[in-house]
Amino acid sequence: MSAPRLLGLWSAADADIGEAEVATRRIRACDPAGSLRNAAVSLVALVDDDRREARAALQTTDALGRRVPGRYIVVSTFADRPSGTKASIKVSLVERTDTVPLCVEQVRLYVNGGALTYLSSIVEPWTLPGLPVAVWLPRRLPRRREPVVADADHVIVDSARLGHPLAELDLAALGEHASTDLAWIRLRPWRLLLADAFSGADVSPFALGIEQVDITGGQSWSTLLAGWLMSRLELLPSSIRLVDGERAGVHVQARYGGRRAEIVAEAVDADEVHVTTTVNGNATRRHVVYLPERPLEDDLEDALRDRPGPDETWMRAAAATIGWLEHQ
Amino acid sequence: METTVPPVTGRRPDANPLVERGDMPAAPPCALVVFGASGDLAARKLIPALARLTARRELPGRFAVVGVARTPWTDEDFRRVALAHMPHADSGGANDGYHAAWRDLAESFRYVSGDYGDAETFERLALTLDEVDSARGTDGNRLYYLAVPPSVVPTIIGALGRHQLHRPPDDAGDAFVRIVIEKPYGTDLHSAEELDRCVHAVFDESQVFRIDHFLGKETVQNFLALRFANAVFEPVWNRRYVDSVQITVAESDGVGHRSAFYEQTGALRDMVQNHVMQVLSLALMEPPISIDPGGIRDEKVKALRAVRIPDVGDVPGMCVRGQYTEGWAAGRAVPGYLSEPGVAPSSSVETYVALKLFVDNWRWAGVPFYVRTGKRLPKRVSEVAIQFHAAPHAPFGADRIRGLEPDALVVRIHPDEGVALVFGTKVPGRGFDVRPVAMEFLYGAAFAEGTPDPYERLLLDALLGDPTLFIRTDEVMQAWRIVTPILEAWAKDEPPIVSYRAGTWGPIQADTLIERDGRHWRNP
Repeated sequence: MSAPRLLGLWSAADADIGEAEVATRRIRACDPAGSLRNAAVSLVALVDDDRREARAALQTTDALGRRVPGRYIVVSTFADRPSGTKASIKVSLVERTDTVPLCVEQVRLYVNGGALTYLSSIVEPWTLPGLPVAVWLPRRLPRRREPVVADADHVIVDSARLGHPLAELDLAALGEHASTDLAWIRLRPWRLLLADAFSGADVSPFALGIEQVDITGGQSWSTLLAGWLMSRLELLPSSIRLVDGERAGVHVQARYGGRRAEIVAEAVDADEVHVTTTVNGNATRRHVVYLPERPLEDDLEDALRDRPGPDETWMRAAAATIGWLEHQ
Repeated sequence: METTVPPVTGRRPDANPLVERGDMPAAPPCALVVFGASGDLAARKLIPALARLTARRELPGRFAVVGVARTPWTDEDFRRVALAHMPHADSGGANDGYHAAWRDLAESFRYVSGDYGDAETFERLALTLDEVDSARGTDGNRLYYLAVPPSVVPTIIGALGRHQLHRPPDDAGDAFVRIVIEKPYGTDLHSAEELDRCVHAVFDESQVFRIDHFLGKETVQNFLALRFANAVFEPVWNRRYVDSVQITVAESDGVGHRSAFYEQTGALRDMVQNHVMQVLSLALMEPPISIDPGGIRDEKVKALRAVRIPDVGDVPGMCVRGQYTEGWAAGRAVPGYLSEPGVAPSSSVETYVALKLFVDNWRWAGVPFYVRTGKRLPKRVSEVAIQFHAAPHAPFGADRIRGLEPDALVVRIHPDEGVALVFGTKVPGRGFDVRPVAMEFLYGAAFAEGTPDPYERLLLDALLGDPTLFIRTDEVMQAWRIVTPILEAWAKDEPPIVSYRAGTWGPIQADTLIERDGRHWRNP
C-alpha cells in the first residue's frame, strides 16, 4: 500500500455543511479515483482542548484511514475562545494493488465558546449518512449524557491512558455504551498466548493450582492482565505481582497433584516472545511466538472491527483489576 | 456502587479456563500429517498458509507437521522447503520475530519417506507421531491432510486403519483424529461411493473433512450474509421475480503443469461437480435455522436434491462440452489443448462445459440455471448473476429503453469481489431515455484489510473441528448424481465435443444453448 496522495484541502470558519460538501466534491472530482466514496464508518475523535492529543489523533487517523475506509473527524473544543466553529477538510487517495483505491476524508473541527452548547448539532452533520458512528476518547471516559458520545453507535476508550485506574463507577458508565477498551484489544495477543500455554492435557490441570503469577515489564496492560488472570483462574489478589523488569513477560508457578509447573512467556526482542513450560524441573516445551509491537492505529482498527457491545470477559477482568489494585 | 459480574463456574482439571469462546477460540494442540508433502499443493498452498497462521499467532504452540511422501527427502529437506516457501509477513519492517517463529515451527517438521502401499511407511509414521507427541506435546491429536491424487486415497486410508492411526493413541484421553480429503472425491458416483465405503470403514463421518477451497473464500461465505442478513434480497429471491440465473467460473489459464491430472478429470469433474455445485447450492438453499454445520449443510443438501437430474437422452439438449484450440489468451499466443505438454494428441477431455439446469422446488420451479466453466476463456472471473424479470410494462416507449436489460444482481466471487445491482436509470436532460447503470459494492472498498487465503481459514477450521465449510458425504453424492447422466451421455459421445478458440467465451454452441431460450450470456 502506497503513502496517501493529497487530493486537496479546504477550510472555513463557521462553515455550513453544504459548503463543505460542495468543496469536498470539487476536490474529489480532481481525480477519477476520487469519485469513489468508499466508507464503512465515521470516527469522531474528541480531544477536548489538548493540542498535543489533537496532533496525535490526526496522525493516528491518517494512518488508520489507509486501512479502514471512512471519514475521520478530530474535534477540539475550547470553552474560553469566542463562540464559533472552524473546519478544515483533507482529502487523500491511497492507491492499492489488486483493489480499488481508498479515498479518505479527514475533518478537523474546532468548536469554541458558546457554540459548545450545540456540540452534537455541530458534529453530527459531518458524519456520513447511514453508516455507524464511532466516538474515540483517547484519554478519558465518557461523561454522563455527554453530547456526541450519547448518540454514538460505538464508544472507544483506552483505560491504560486515563492516568488513573478504572473505578467501579467508570465500569458502570462504560456499561451504558457499546464500548470497547483499547487496553483490552492490546492485551488480546497475550491472552491468546497464555491460553495456548495452558492447553494440553499435561498442563491444563495446573490452572487449578496457580500459586504465583509475576508480570514484568510494566506495560500499559499489565494491571488488566492481572485482573483477567484473577477472574479467569479465580485467584486471590495476593497471588499476582507486578515485578520490575525491562521486557514484557509473565511467569506462572503452579502445583497440581504433587507436581510443579512453571510457564514463562518472555519477550526477548521487540517482536519475539519465547514461551517455556517446565514440569517438575524439566522443560517440556518451548516455542517462539511472533508478537510485534502494534501502533495505536492497529488497536483502533481492531476496535472498529469488533462487535460493539458489552464484553462480559472484559467486564469481569476490569472488575477484578479494581479488586486487585485495592489489595496492592 | 457494585458491579455485578457473573462468576466463572464449572472448572474441571481437563478444561483450560483461559480459553474463551467468542473473540479468540484457540486451536488445540495437534500434529498435522500431510500426505503428499513433497507435492505442489503442499508447497504452494499448505506451507504458506501455515506460515501466515503462525504470523497471526493462530496456530497452537503445541503444533507439529509431519510430511509423508514417496520423494526420498529427510527431515532437513522438508524443513528447507518449509523455509523456502515462507511468504512475506503482512506488516512491514524486518519481522525478525516472524522469521524466528516460523523457523521454530519448521524445526518441528518431520518427514517420513516411503510408498503408501508399504506397511513400513505407516509403522515409521506411527513411531514419528509418538516422538512428536512427546517432543511437541501434541496430545495424540492428529489432523491428516491428503494432498495426494485420488487414486492413492483408498490405499492411505486403509493403511491408517490397519495401523490403528485412525483413532487416538490409547493413552490420549479425548484426543481427536480428523482427516481432510482434497477434491475430487471420486471420479464418478460409483467411485465416490466406493471411496466413501472405504473412508467410513476406517473413519466416522464426524472425523472426515472434505475440502473444496472455494468454500474457504470470503466472498462465497458472504453469499450467506448477503441472502440471510438482509431483508431486501430474500423476498425477490424466487421464481416470481427471477427470470434466470447464470453461474460463470472462468479461467484464463490453460492446463499448465496439471495436464496429467486434467486428462483424468476434465472440466465437469474438476469444476462443476464441486466448485460450481457448491456455489449453486448456496444460491438455491432455503434459509438455515442457524449458521451451524448441521443447519447450513442440511439446507445445501436439500437444495442439491431439488436440482433436476437429467435423463441421459436429454443431455445433448442441456449441455455443451468444448475443448480449446490455439488462440490469444492472457496477453499472448497460446497453444490448443491437444498441443499442451502431457496431453494425448487424440484426447477428448473437455476444457469447457455449459449446462442448463432446472430446480424442482417451490422457490425455483421453471427458472433455468445456466452454468458455464472453462479454461482459456478471456479472463479469470467467477460470478453468480441473478437476472430478474423485465418490468411488466414500460411506459416510456420502446425506443426510449433501447439497450435496457432487465435488472440483475451480480455476486462477484473473483476478482473485484463484491455485489453489483444493474438497473435502469433516466439519462439526464430532456426526454425520458432510460439506460442501464451498475451500483457496485466492492469488498475492497469497505474492508481495506486483505482476506485470508481459503486454505488458512479451512486449515484452522479443521483444527478447531468446525465442519461448516467442508462438504458432507450426502452433498458429494448428490452432486455426483446430478453430473452422472452427463458423464454417461459423453461416454456415448453425446453431445460430441466441440472446439472453441482460446481467448473466447467458449463454443458457439454454448451461445445457442441460451439464445434459443431468448436469453444471452452476460459479459462478466
